[in-house]
Amino acid sequence: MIQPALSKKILMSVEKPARYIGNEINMVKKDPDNIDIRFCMCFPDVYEIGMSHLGIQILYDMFNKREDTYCERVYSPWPDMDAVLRQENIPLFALESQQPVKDFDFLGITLQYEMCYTNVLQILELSQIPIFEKDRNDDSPIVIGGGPCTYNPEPLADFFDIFYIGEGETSYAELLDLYKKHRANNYSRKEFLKEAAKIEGLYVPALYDVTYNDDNTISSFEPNVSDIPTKIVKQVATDLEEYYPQKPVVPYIKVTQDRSVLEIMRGCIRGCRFCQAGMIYRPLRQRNLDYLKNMATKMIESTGHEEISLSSLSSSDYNCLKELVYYLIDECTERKVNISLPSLRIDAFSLDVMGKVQDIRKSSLTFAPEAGSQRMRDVINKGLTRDVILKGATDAFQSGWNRVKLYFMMGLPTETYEDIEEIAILANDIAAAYYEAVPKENRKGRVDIVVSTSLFVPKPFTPFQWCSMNIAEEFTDKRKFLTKKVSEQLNQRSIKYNCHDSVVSVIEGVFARGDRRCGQVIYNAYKKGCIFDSWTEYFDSKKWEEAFAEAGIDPLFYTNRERDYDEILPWDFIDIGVTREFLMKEHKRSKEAIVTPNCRMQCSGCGAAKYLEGGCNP
Amino acid sequence: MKIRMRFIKRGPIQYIGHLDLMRYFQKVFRRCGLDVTYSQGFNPHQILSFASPLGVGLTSIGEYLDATINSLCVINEEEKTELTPDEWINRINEHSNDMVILTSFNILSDDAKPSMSLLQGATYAVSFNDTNTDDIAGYFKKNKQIIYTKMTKKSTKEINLKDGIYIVSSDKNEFYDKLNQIACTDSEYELNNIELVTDTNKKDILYIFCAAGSSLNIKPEMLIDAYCNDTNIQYDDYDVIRLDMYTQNEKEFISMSL
Repeated sequence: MIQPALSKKILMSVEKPARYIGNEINMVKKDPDNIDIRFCMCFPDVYEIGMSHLGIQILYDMFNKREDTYCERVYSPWPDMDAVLRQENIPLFALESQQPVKDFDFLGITLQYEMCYTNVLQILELSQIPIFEKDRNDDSPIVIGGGPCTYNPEPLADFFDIFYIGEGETSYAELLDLYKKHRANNYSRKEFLKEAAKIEGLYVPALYDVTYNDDNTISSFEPNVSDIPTKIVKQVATDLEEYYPQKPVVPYIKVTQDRSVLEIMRGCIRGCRFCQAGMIYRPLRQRNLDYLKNMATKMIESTGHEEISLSSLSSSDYNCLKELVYYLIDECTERKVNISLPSLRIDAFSLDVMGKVQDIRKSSLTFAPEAGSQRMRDVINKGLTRDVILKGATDAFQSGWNRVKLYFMMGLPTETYEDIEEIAILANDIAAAYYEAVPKENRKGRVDIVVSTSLFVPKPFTPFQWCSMNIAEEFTDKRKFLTKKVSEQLNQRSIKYNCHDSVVSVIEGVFARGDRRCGQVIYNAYKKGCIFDSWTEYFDSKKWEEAFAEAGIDPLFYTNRERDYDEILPWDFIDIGVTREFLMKEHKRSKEAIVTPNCRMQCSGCGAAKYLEGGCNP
Repeated sequence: MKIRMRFIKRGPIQYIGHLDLMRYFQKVFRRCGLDVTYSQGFNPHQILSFASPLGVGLTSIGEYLDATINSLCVINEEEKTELTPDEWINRINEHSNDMVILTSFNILSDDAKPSMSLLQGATYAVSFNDTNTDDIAGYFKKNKQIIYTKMTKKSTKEINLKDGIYIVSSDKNEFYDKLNQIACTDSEYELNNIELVTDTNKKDILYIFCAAGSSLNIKPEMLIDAYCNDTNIQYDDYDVIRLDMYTQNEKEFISMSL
């Protein structure tokens, strides 16, 4: 066992000391003195969230397979621990060795959502690493960012040395080998970064200059050294069977995803126009059935978890789903392991298996129509009709469910108040379907329908990347309107309505499509004390307002503005395979509410097929 | 078949609460294939119970976990052979870490009561750095009545600690001599294992044997608090180690491991 970096007195004074002690089952132990490269992997949120993330587990496994590398983990200290570390001047430490992060060679930070950006600065400052890239020296770790937010890394450009664009499986080996070579010969951080910038998929922001027009749009984006690429090519793993965490780390405390996770495929065939994941993870790649069966058994045996879950963007589209699920049911029933099946489309098969793996009386079914009206669903290319939704709900009610969750978005491009009213009407129709489908004597109380709306945030590399986003007041008005419309429905007593906070969504919108100048806002907000912005109890909209004002930045420039096709977007230097032409075509089709068939029905030539030898075969 | 396991809890896992420790054991048992009986229903779970939850920040060489098992065979293995209790101790420890160590695995009679309801007393070692523990022991020996105000979420209650203190001593030999007169104990086990949980910087030790369980539950921290309040001395850096837990018959206390 490794002794904690913190004293008993400190650990006993904070909430959940287990977040900071490491020593979990399946934690990798290596002697730091016999290691060439120390890599610290960070998820900039609290332990329970970070430990639930599959991507880090995959990379942790991959790095630790190298004998010369020791990969450890660190998460954001909760505000109570943050205060203690600052007061006692204790540098932030990695969980495995309990040694300071500042002594590592690399600090890799995964960027999963925009509202974690102030936590990135917290991690750097508590680690006693200079917050700004320009202030670091040869002793500082190389700070590298990855994950979905790096598809527009520009708001964080001043704080990172490198961004890794794409899936980690492909280029890290080359980066680590290069680092070792440089460390062995008079290491200079600047020289190393110049060479690293030549590796495919790696973006070194300091080596690129941005200039702006008078209207604040980008005028140019160019490398400031020779021999480095002007376009950064997204990395895609074509062999998904090389790395998988057969022995994931098992936390002591309950975490958000307290289960083994089986990633069955990457990418999605659906092409929903609002969905960034659906574009950036193209092309579709499915894991082999036998490989997954084997991994499931190995994970159950190595973790002792009481639940296993499937992970993908749309599990129903996995070709061998039936075989896999029936195999898991057999295997897991015998071992008393529960199965969780998220993101399944509601059909006869999914109702059958869900009836087998969960208690119908206690569980609810989830539908994600995303929009209330058919026109709106066609605009966003959600190929789902009212009839299909009602048929699914009716089947579910007849199978015994009486709780339904419905997910919608508000603020979608071209949205009208009629479209919003349709959300309430659809919810009412589903409630009515219950009373039609289930005879009185079989009903167990009222049907229970929960409607949730999230607020639409346009994201880079989607057909809506040029679109204007609603302002906070519009969202508030729309929410009030929908609340009223829900209350006017015949079955309103069966419908409960929840909505996301609009100010948070607006700030998310700024950083989603922001440029380098937005970094100052993040820094200002952090210095005012903003951390854990994704936690309602810590989000402070007033501080953010001040942070924008002091940086002289108008959030509406980034959110509430329609962009021209010829404008240089901050993320245009990234090549994700999916072409700009395809996104433009999709944007135009959305305006006419024309549905584009999914990848299995017909190839639309998005461009991502170039990653696969022999082309795309969804 | 009912079983009772004794285990050591030491090192950083002292910061894990008892509910998480329960989940830890459930995972250990699933990994090692112990044929634990599960509850019925859609989300079956293992039926386990501790004799007494150990507070966060405490270590122990005398914790007890009760379980019901269907057989002594390893599940998910083709060949069904029964393992002996010693083999189970080894197998469970191989699937655990070095902070939770199983030291006994006893098969109980079918009508055995759960350890939780049998619990009547517990022994502790409280270790300090550079502290005269003779004074503390003397305080508890001398005073006939030591009132302690117990605060719960709903109310405050005054108890006389002396009602539940059986032995207090700063001398190891004296403690075990007295303990052996009133209790059937496994002092050899304790002497062999105590080093696994003690901080070598905290050499001054106070030994306590006090009431535990549902009728009267005395915690060593209460004793230290009462002493500090009365003498205006502050101790905030001491470790509490649970040594063992006891049940009681007409004649004497008996270690749960026996």
